[in-house]
Amino acid sequence: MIEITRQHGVTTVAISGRFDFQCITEFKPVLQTDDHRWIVDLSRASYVDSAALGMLLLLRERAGGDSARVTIRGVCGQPQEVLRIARFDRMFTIEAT
Amino acid sequence: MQADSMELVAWMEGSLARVMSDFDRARALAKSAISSLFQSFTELSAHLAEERAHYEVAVQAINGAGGDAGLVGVLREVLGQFLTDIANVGQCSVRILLEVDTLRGHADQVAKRGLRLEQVAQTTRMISLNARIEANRVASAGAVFGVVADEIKALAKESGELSKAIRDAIALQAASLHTTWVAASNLSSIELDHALESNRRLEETVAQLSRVSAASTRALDRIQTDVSAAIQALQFEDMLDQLLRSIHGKLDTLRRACASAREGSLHLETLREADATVNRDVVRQQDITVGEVELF
Repeated sequence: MIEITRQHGVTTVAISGRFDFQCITEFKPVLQTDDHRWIVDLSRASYVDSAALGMLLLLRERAGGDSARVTIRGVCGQPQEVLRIARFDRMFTIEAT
Repeated sequence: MQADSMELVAWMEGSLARVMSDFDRARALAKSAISSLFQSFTELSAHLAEERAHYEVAVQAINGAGGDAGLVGVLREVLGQFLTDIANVGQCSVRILLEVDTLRGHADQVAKRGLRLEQVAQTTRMISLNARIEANRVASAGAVFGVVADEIKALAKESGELSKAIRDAIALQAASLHTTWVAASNLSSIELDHALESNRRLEETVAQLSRVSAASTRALDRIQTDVSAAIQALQFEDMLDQLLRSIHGKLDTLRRACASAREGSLHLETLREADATVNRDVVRQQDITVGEVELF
């Protein structure tokens, strides 16, 4: 499940449970926002697949490729391991729990 | 000197000569054995150093050193690149899915317009039918109406066919979009558990190798220390040989004293010299690890 909130030019996307290809339709509005900064809260996400990585990369693309504009927050467990091996720390600001 | 004493002295002289002979053989055997052991331990030490060098090269090839990432580094890099590539595939497939979703929206709009076109065609058919009825009612005066009614009917038919064609085309497009959606979904939904499992096994193997490497290094160190201690101990062979020579000399002094006594030429001065020789310590050291080495 995806919850999107916007405040002061910051879009926060909170994802619960599995963050996979079935979230694409829900995630689509996030890619259409035109904010200065995006925060993806994965503290309640238990799983990510390649589509989730793809959505995060598209969000980064939306942010003009600026890693400082997209923060992945609260990542732990399987998502943390995947993001670490995929070297997403080089492309995003990652804040672990 | 009494005859018994003479016999005893002669016996002592002969016994001492035999003891010295045995002693010389024992000394030669010990010298040979120690020399052989020294050579073996020296070669063992060299082999150990060589094996250690090979082992360190192998460990460096696995773990890497300096600018070389090593096998472990290469495997980590490959795994990282694999996931990066998977992420890029995910990005492309998600982009395709989003475009398909947009196309579906457009197709829905076209379908709605096609439906409206169909409604217009239906209305037009009703109008043409009404026009035909009116033309028939006013007989010859309605001839013009008849022409109009026929044209409208033709238009209604054409727009009806057109809307059907649009509907069919949209249905085909929807089927293609669905196929594309399913394909892109399959492409985007790659499970990453195998990659994670591979990474875990790699890290476990690295940790295990590290433990084995540390244990092997400690074992090699211990063996090297023991071998070095053995070599050091064997280097005391020279001191041992001097001690044995000294014992040989003392025995010879005793034998010569016996010979002098037997010949009746044993004097007090000779006895004092013999006593000094027998009681002299050439090596005071009791242990190779304690005290100073006393060689002369």
